[in-house]
Amino acid sequence: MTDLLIKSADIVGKGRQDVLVRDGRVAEIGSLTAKDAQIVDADGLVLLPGLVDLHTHLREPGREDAETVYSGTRAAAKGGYTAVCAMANSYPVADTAGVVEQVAALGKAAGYADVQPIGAVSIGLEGKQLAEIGAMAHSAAKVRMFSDDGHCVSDPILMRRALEYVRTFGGLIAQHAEEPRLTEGAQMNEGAVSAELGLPGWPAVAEEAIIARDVLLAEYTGARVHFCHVSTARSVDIIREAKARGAKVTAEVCPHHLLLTDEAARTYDPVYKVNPPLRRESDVAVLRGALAEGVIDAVATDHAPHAPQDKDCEWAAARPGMLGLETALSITVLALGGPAGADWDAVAERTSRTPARIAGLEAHGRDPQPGTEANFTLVDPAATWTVVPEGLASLSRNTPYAGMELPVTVQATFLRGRATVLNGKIEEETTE
Amino acid sequence: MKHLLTTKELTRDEAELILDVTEQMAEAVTGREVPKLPALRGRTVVNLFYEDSTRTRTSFETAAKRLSADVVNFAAKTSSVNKGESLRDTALTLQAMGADAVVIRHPAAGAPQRLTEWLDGAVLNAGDGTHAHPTQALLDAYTMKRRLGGIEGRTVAIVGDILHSRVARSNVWLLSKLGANVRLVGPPTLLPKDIDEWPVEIGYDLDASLKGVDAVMMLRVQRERMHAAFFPTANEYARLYGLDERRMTLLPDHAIVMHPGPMNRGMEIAATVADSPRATITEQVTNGVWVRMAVLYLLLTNGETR
Repeated sequence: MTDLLIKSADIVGKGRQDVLVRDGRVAEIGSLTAKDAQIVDADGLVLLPGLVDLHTHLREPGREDAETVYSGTRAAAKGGYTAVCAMANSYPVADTAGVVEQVAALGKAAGYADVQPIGAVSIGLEGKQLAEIGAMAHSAAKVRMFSDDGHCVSDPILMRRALEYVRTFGGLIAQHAEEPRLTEGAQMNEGAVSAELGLPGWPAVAEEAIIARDVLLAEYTGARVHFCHVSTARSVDIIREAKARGAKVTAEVCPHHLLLTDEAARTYDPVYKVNPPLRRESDVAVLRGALAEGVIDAVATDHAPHAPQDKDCEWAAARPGMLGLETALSITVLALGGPAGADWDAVAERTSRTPARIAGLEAHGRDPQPGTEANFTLVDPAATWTVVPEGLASLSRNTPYAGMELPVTVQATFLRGRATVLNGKIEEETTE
Repeated sequence: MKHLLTTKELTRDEAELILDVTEQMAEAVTGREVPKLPALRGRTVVNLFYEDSTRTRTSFETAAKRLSADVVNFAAKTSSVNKGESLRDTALTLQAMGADAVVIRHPAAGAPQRLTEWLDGAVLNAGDGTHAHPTQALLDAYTMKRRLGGIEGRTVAIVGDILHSRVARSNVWLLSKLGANVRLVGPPTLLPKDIDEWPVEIGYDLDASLKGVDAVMMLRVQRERMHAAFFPTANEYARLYGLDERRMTLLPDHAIVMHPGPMNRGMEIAATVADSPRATITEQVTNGVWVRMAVLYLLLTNGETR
């Protein structure tokens, strides 16, 4: 593998440097020249540690018509990601060592991003019996994060046991906080808009009640809980108080909850149907503040590809979820006050360093230093782009941002020094 | 007006035009030997019903036939919710057959709006989930106009399961637009959350809410709701929110009693009240045909050949 020399990149917004990469690792940083190296001109571009997604639905195995590990990781690379955590709700469910190892192997074979499988908490995501968490943890996939995402671990005794169990190996439970009895038949945020549209409401309290309970369980068991896709202002309050007390809790927010509101449901277009649902403008404002402040630790996409027939239908019949990998960085920059004067250190912290730390991905989320793996992305802070669903790398088209002009483009992504994206285009040859 | 999806999107002028044309339809047809007008000859109206509703379907069918339209009843027992043919495929089929108007009744809120994206013809919402039922509200308004001499300044109490009622929602927007004062009355469990912005007064005490009303509209309440803890028992519901003979005496003398049907006699309305001269229930059914004639006529001709 030839050396790679990235010329005059603005390293996380802290100043221009050249970065020399050899054998997949950063060799040198400074004002450099190199013979026989592949030169990438990064003049005007910002270098960020490769983005890490804590919450990706890759749909393989089971729904390869909507996404595969290959197509999903290509979308990830296009969005600046070098690692994604694959949620367990595949068919079959990732509740055994065999399935998580298969997903990890598919990721390795595709070569576009590291794929860290998340294991199911309960067998079949049914919330009844613990899945073989130990077997998944000790498998080749080295699972540390467990989640029944799509479903809440609502049974308090199952949650308690799962927490006690993962604590032994430093694992964590990623909770989809949704008290199921409060959301039966729910279709969108409960509030003024749902009242008018006649769509059954998903009340904020259904999320907040579980977060409050699980904060207490985390403190009681001493184990780590991570809250998936936090969507309400009161959830932020509860998490802030918990952190102030020293509870081992972390939280993520999705790009769509940082930008869109329940007003979008007025179209009855299910491209805006997602779980948890789009909330009110006031929630969006609080979530943005909490992300900037660090009460919310990370942006996670909840990238949820769906086949056309699962969205081209009545709202109630549609599956919840939206694409996120290729638009997350742009929306994060917006939510953190950019693109003008963007705080790149904050962007790196929320999209890369902290999620890598939460997921235990030690080779990711690191600013370039001699010796670190060369996992990073080059972004053009001055460019804008228009979202065209057909132009996305994902197999699916269910983006809620179609036609929107967004700031910041990903010009290149490097996974262990090899370009997965270059000049804004996905590289077709990626095998390491 | 290309479609009729909700009463909220109607302007006051449009709503008043529909009510005026309704009156013309009633006058033009009533007393005729052959109660039929040639206005929609050669046009095809499809009744696409995903819920059993013989009354509403028959009303639309009668209205279309009285305007000489060809009527096709497309009884779709299953929807994509039940893994049958998708709504989109059905829409494309109706489009290919050349439907000029589609009258749709669907259990999913928003289904008629989705249909407009896949069809060129006019879409007429005949009830979608708990969202809207615009022709019901229009026939209610027409009934009030006839019986009370107008709508502006009149006070209407809508009583019962507001949460699950598309009739209530459509009436709130239409009646307030036409200048009526609307009161919503029911147990808090059956009122939607966050409706402080609605142009209504909200009450939980039926006796108090009946004072000074010109019309009271009783909504059907499903007995099964008690299983989801909306109210304890059917008896308690009837005691607190049913319109019985005692409560009828609280109404001003001129006030009318309305019900969109079908009724649960003894639950939200006592049998004697339903059969009293104040009740406009069968009149509402008759008016429904005139209103639906007016709407079909306006949507399919833009009023041009009038």
